[in-house]
Amino acid sequence: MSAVLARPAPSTRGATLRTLAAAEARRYARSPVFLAGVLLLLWATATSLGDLDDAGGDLAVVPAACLGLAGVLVGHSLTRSTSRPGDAVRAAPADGALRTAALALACLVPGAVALAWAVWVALALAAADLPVAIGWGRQAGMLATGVVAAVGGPLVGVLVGRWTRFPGAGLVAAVVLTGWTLACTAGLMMTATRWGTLVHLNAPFATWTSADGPDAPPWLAGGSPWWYVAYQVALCGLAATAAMVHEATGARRTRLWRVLAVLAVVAVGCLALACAADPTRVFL
Amino acid sequence: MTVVPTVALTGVTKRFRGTAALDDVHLTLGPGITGLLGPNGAGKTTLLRITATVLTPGAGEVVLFGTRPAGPEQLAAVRRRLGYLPQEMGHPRGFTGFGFVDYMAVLKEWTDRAARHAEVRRVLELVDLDGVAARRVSALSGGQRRRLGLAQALLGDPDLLLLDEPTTGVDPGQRVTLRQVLSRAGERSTVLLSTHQTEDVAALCDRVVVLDGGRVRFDGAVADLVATAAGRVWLADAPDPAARASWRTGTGRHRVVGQAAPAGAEPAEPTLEDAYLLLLGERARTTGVAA
Amino acid sequence: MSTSTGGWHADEDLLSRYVRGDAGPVAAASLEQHLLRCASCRDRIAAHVPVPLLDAAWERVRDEAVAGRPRRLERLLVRLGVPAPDALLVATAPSLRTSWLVGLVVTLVFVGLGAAYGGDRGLTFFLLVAPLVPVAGVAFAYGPDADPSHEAALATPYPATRLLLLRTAAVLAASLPPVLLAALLVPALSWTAVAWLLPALSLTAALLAASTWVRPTVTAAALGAGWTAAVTSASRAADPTAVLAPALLVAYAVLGCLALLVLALRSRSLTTLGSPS
Repeated sequence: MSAVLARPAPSTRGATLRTLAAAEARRYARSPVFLAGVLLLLWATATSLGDLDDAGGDLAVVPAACLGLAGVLVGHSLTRSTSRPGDAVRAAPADGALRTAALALACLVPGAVALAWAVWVALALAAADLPVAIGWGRQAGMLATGVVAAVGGPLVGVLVGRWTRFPGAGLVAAVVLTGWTLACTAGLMMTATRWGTLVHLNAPFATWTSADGPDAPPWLAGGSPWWYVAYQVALCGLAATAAMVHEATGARRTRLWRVLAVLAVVAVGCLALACAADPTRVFL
Repeated sequence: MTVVPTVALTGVTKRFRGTAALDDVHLTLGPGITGLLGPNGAGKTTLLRITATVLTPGAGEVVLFGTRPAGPEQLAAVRRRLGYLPQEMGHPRGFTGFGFVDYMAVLKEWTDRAARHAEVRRVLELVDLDGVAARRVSALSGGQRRRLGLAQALLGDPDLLLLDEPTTGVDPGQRVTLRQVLSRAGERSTVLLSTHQTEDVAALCDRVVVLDGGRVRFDGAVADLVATAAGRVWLADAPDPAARASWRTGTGRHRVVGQAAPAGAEPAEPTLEDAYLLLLGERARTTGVAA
Repeated sequence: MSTSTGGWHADEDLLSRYVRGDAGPVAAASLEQHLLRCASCRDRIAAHVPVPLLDAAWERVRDEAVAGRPRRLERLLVRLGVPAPDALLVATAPSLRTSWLVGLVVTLVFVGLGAAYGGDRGLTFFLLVAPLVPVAGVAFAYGPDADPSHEAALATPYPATRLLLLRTAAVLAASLPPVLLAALLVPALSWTAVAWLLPALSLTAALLAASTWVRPTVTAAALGAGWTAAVTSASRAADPTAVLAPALLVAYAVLGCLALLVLALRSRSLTTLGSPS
């Protein structure tokens, strides 16, 4: 039984993490909010595939909302429910940072679903033989933003669950992410400069197509989708590391703080590179 | 009988999704301490909840202090006279020990601040928590929290005290303190005490009720229950797989509880635990090592 | 330092008059000066101080030390005229704690930002969140999820309906004005900045009515999901403000009244555990 784990050798730690992560992943996959999100994803995709020709790129908003935003609530509730029994959990052989790492790994579950979704949409686009005006590279990058958002949302949920104790924190985090994302669409209304791109792309999730009016032709915003995806990944890393810092102690905590600093620099760098690309809009 | 019993349950039945948690329970309680024993899922908590008026029975009649608590007025009148410690007793966040009991006292209609604080201090002293009353509940140990829950049940010296496993997580020294508090309460009030600790029942109660599968299996004096095990407990040199239970004791010999004496065994003085194991029969068929 | 005071000591009569407060200001002041330096007079004055008075003072000091000061919200409620015991019970609700109010402010900042700069989606976002703010607050003000000692509290004579309504009123008073203020600060919202109040109150009433059957957090989740579905489908169809159409506003008012009626009729079931855990 657990007595075997009393002396955590490095190999034992990895095995414990794998076991814990598998258990957390199962809990994630069984969460009713996650399952509802998956159903919503299927339904929303089915109803939007019809207008692929004009706004194909922005389909990524569907997994970002159904898996990412809903995932904030799932991640938060999973984290809260593991920390609630208090003494019993604290006495378990696996330490807090390890349990947080397992929770962070469980956030790959919605990511996997989003990835499957992205592949499916890409195949549907290819099968429909629609003219991909923006090129496959950009199109794939835009779909990837949805996949990363599906992982990032739950990670923010874990982060908030670790650092706060009040019950509505998951909802507040979801509102904050949505408000931040929506406010950044102001960048699409600005003139097409690098500053406008910065306002547009600093959000945790960004949509790329817009139009100057109801009947005006749609256009694609400037900036680099792939560097933006890198920025999102760095944000995910920040969330996961910051969540692990809470329970870590001693040298490990110091190391995590250093990782956090490095990731922050990487995030800023990726955002700068995403905005440094040509800001001109491409009419579709 | 001329005295109105504090609690009179007649044919009380409660079902949860088809399974009977309580099945046709008849129980009458008057002043004194009654122990409620039974395995997990026997219906102890349901019985206490129904008696504490926080759960309505599916069928049967509950009469407390001679009235059926039907309307809000009667319900409040009954609740004024009872103290209840639930099995799951959490505490709202941010409270000190004193603050929590003070909060419960307000709910128990102690509106005058000075009188309420005096009463809160009294019950905290009773459970030996006055020294840590200014600490946050979250900083208290499990046993201290349990005693805090008991303190709020003792507010106002209630006529009916319903305690669901009050001694869980309480260390032996504190348990003795609690026994003193409860035995004093039992002198004038009716106390119903649900527990897994047969020693608590043996030490405190004059009467014991054993529940199993939602039914009352035994209701009588503790001595009468112990007497049922007379001649069925032995000390032997080897474990006896055929017995109801047998375990190795600290002296190296095996205590055997069963119907037939194993070879080379000598009779032993039965305890309440032995009688309880025998009563529950096949449910308790275990062979293990006890410290 | 010498304790000698030149041989003079206060007589018993002066000491007893001083303790009673009848010594007169000049004599009292000079006696106080003397007492500071004279140990023997300090010893003798103790005999004149009535013991019950000392005990009462000590009691008050001890009480202050152990009981502590009432919380800020509790003091505020008392100043507003709420009876002190009720104020204590209301202030215990998690959704009235500082952390919750901080959460509310953060929510409003981001809803405001989204509504101000997010165009039609921002409007949808505002319509989605604003009416659910009081619902979430009430859900975490009462019941087993909000109060871990709920079961013990149920067994007390304090009326459960009164507690629920007191806390609901406090949550509404704490959450509606900030949301309204934030909405009025965003010009893009125009009349919807006020119209959301009706569904908000109606949803809250529905929550109260449903809490006589199931725990409030479960109902709040269901209401939240329903409202989200309504607003997003209105938004996808054409216009998110369709959920505030005049006919629907009337329907909200009617539903709200019906819900309050249900609450009044079924308030008895609030006094027991709805669904056993």
